[in-house]
Amino acid sequence: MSAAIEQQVEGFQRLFTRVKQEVAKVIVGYDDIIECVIMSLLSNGHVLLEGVPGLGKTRLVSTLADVVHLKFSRIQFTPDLMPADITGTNIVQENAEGEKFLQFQQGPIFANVVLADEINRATPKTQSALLEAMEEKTVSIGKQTYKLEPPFFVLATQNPLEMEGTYPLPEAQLDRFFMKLKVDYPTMASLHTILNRTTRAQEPQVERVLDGPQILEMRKTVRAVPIARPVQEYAIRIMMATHPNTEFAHGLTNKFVRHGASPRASQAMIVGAKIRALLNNRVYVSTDDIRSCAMGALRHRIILSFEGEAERVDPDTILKEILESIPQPN
Amino acid sequence: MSDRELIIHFLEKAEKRARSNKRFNDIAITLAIAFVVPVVFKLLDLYFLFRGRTVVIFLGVWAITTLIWILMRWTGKSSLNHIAGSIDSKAHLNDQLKTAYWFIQNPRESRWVDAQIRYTANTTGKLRLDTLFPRRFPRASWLVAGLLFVLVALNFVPLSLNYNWFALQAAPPFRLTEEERKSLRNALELLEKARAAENAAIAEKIEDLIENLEQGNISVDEAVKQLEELQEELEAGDLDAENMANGLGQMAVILRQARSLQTAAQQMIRGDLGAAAEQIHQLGEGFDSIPPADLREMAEKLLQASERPRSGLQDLARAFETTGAAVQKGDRAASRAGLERISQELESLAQQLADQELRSKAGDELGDLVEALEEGATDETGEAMESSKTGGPNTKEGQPSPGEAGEPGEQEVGEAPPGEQAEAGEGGEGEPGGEAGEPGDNSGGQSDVAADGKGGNAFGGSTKSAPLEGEATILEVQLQKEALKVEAGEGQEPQKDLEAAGEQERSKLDYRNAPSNLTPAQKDLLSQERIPWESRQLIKNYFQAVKPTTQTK
Repeated sequence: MSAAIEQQVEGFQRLFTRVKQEVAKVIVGYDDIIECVIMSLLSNGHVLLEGVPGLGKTRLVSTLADVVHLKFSRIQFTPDLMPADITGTNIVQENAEGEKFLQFQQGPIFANVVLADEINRATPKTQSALLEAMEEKTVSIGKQTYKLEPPFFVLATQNPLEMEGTYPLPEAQLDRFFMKLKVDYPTMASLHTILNRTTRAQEPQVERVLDGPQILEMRKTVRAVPIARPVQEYAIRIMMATHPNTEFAHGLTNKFVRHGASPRASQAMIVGAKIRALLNNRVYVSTDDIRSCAMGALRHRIILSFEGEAERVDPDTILKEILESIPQPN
Repeated sequence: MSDRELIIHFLEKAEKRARSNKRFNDIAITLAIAFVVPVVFKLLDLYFLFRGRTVVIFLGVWAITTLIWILMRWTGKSSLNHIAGSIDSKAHLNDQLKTAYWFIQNPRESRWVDAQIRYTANTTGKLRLDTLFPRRFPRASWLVAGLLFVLVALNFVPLSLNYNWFALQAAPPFRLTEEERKSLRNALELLEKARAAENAAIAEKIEDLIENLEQGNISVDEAVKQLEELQEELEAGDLDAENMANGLGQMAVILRQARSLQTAAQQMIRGDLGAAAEQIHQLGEGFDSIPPADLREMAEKLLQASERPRSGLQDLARAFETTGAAVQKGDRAASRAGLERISQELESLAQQLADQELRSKAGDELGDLVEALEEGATDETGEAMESSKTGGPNTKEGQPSPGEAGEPGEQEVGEAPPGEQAEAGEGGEGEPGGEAGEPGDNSGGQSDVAADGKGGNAFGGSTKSAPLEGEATILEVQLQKEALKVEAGEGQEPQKDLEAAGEQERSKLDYRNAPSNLTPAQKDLLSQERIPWESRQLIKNYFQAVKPTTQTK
């Protein structure tokens, strides 16, 4: 490995580890979640966090925003939330001469890190206000398009328990999330640590260890990691295996899946795998890297069929079967 | 050597090692599977007894198939990409080598790619082929060795029906059954006992014939034909023996009329020529004590018995004649010498007849063998059943069949004047067939040779006839020729005597030899003498007693 690349990799690892350590000061027991969130940030993707209330999802995002020294905004999604409440709107202003004019008032979307809390409580119309911002990194108001400042990172949370008065995210919007991470209950040991830290007089303070330019530089590093065709093909095969009634479809896919993952899933797997490779001090992607990112990248992109819904099939179960069935490429 | 070359070189070395390991393993597995086949085949061979040709073809096909399979496996070559993946897996390299090889094969301008290749080159320098692909003795080779051992052991199992393939042995194309082999063995033993030079030759012929049959050089039909010929050859002497026995019987009847020769004659009639010879020998020793009247009577009967000797009895007849003449002249020394010569001749004849009896028994055993072979062939091919039965072992061509003996056309008895002793031997010079059964042979009432139409005699063992004893039976029966009246067709003269036509219609085949489904034991039972010879005299006396007093011709 050349010295320059070695330094680049070491710098990446150091920064990544620092961010993770800082976030872990506040968020206990979710190392994997933290890592995946940081990975999504460095992959130029967005994260959907799913978990019951009280597990620290919002706290995780706010902590991350503190650590990365980026502009943070939080949007609490409610049924009466309007798209303009997110994107902003033109409001009438009056100048010194008394002339009135329309001026665009930026919404909370104009931030680097946006927390879309309980995103499934807003109406689909409001949810769709995020679509353009998440994919194009732009916001169109009337005839005017506003570019969002990079890095732009959306962290959405949703509660899987309360289904009353919620609006499930449309497939198109789900597909725009780089990863969907499931936040489970912490372990006993983690709970002890959480209680110890949160019930004292002083709560842990985090340092800002990463800024926007550094994030963009790290993103470039990630993209530079090469991937061999057989490994890339492995990722494609996994993605294709989620497509029912195709050559590569798995049996469970044919039975329980209505729509498989989109090519964005492959992109997510590969970019995530590249970060994994760098974190493992490698300058190439392996199939193990692909596998480690597959669940987060695919689970929200699989649309279950009626039969799958009726039998309450967990997409993770299908994905585990798929990962076990696809052989490693020669 | 560049990083790329280093990686490729390492992969090539690994591929060679992996290939050689795989080859040995594949060969061991292939042989382990393949050797099951000959072992199973050998086990089947113990039961089904495959012929040599079958074994050779099977093992040839097996060997070729196995060889082709091994060659196909031998020529296979793994790709370097596959080997790279295999090394990644074994050394837990996380697709490092595989990725590097792919980038070597698909080069691109990238510092990261170069770094990856350099990094991989360093890694390969630390890898050890002996650790990744150790040279191992394939486990399947133990199985191969085990199967080979079983195969060899099976070949050397000491079973009577086990043929050692390693000694180039296999089951013969044809194998005699135990019963057939017993018949053959008996026949050969009997021939050995007979001790004649020609018997040894016949025995050798039989052995060669059976060997050729078992080796598949000749068919069963051909073997049966040749065995039948040998059987005929063996039993051909039966007729001579029979003729001699009849002649001896006639001589004995004449000699019995002399008081001094009565005991010896009785022995001759019983067929005990050895005892008769001993009697004659003792007579010679006690010659001086014989009264003159008895000597005259002895001389007369000896001379009478020497007249018209049958074939084979000329020497004995000459001895009779010489001795008779010497006794008549009163030459005691010559008489004693003559009696001694008669004794020797009788012993010689006894030996000849005994030899012929053995030959005849050997012929019978061959007949049994032929019959068994034919039955075996009949079982195999149902179509051959008919032909095998008509030419079956009981029909001995060239040998007089009982039916022939009793045929009216050969019965010249009625025309022969009864009571003429001089004519008694004439019948014996005719055709051999059926002589024994011809009443003409018994004309003159001097011979009591069995006249049952079966050609039996007291000396030729196979026919088991009664010894000559008592007065000859004269049947007052004249078979009438059958005249058939038929209408002549156009242009044909009416045929007056249609006897020939009648004979043509008559079967020449004895009813006992007619095709039947009888077993050999049943056939033997049917062909047995129905009147025990011990009882024959009683029966004859009965018929003589009830014979009408007025004779009709």
